[in-house]
Amino acid sequence: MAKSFTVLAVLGLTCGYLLHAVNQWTAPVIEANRAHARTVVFRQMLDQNDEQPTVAVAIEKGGNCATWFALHSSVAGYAGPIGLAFVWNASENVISTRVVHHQETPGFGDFITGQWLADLDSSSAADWQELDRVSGATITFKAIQNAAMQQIRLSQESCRG
Amino acid sequence: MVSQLNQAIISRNPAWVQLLGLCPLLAVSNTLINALGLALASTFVVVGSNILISGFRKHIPEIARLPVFVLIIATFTTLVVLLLEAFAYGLYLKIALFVQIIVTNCMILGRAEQFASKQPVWASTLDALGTGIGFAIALITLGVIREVIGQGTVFTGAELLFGPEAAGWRIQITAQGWFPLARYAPGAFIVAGIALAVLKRPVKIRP
Repeated sequence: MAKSFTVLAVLGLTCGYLLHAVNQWTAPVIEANRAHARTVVFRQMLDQNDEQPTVAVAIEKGGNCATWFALHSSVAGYAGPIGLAFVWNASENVISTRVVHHQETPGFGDFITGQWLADLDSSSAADWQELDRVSGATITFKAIQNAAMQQIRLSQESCRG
Repeated sequence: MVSQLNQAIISRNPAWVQLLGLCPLLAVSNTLINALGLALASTFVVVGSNILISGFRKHIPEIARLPVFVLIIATFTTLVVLLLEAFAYGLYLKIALFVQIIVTNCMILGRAEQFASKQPVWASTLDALGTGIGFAIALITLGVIREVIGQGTVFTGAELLFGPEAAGWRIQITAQGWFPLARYAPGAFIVAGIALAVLKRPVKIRP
């Protein structure tokens, strides 16, 4: 019994150490990849080319309340976190959204990477509230809808502050 | 050694003979590069987990055998997901879901249970290597066929796995594929079914 427990403990610690070590090694690289992916998405949303150096600065500073904010967040989807990029137009109080990364089921929840979000560019909170749910992917839809509406509210509060 | 490898790759091929791992096989093999990415990930997991299981085989308690196997396989699956997300991010975005479900692939748990838990490390390594190569052959074969007949190209997306320099590897064979359905799930079943029927005659199937 003691021997079995020892073996299991050694195996558990070995697996845990391997995971910890590789996670520590890859975490900065993964975050850099995600940041680069967000930058690419923002450039597409803001119609900026690679020569314009302002996107990273805009993400950091958030523009000012008379123009636009570039923001990102992660929400819980059906199968895992969904990374989202937002461009919020402060003067018109409308938001555009894109997915940076997701783990939703192919054929069901992956509609979020298609034309669906592009068709919702510059939508207000009221527009998002009135959307019809997507059957077969209600959890995914609700996650995106809640994220967009919450981002509008948070951005308004930040701007007022 | 050659005989053991030959058995693992051909006469006991996990996909074409044992019909294991069909979900990722059919889902990811829409292009050669996607198929190659999953093949490399699967081989890493099966070889790594079998080496560890074989190394500890005399010490793993009988009653905890399967949970320990799953723990080890899940560890290696998580490692490969982290490595893929770090060093092949574009490919990770395309195939991440199916890399994560490698842990449920019967092929890996089956070889651990039938072979690695009973044989020395070197034999288990060979067997795992053969299993991985066999699965890779199945994936790559299906990937090439589906990409050629579905899109008319080969090596589309090579830069996702081999870096920006590989963007020029893409070969346009026809203007567009003559069987576009091959890019999707129904086409995958049709192509795989035909391939299985063609292979069934020359390969002896072991139950």
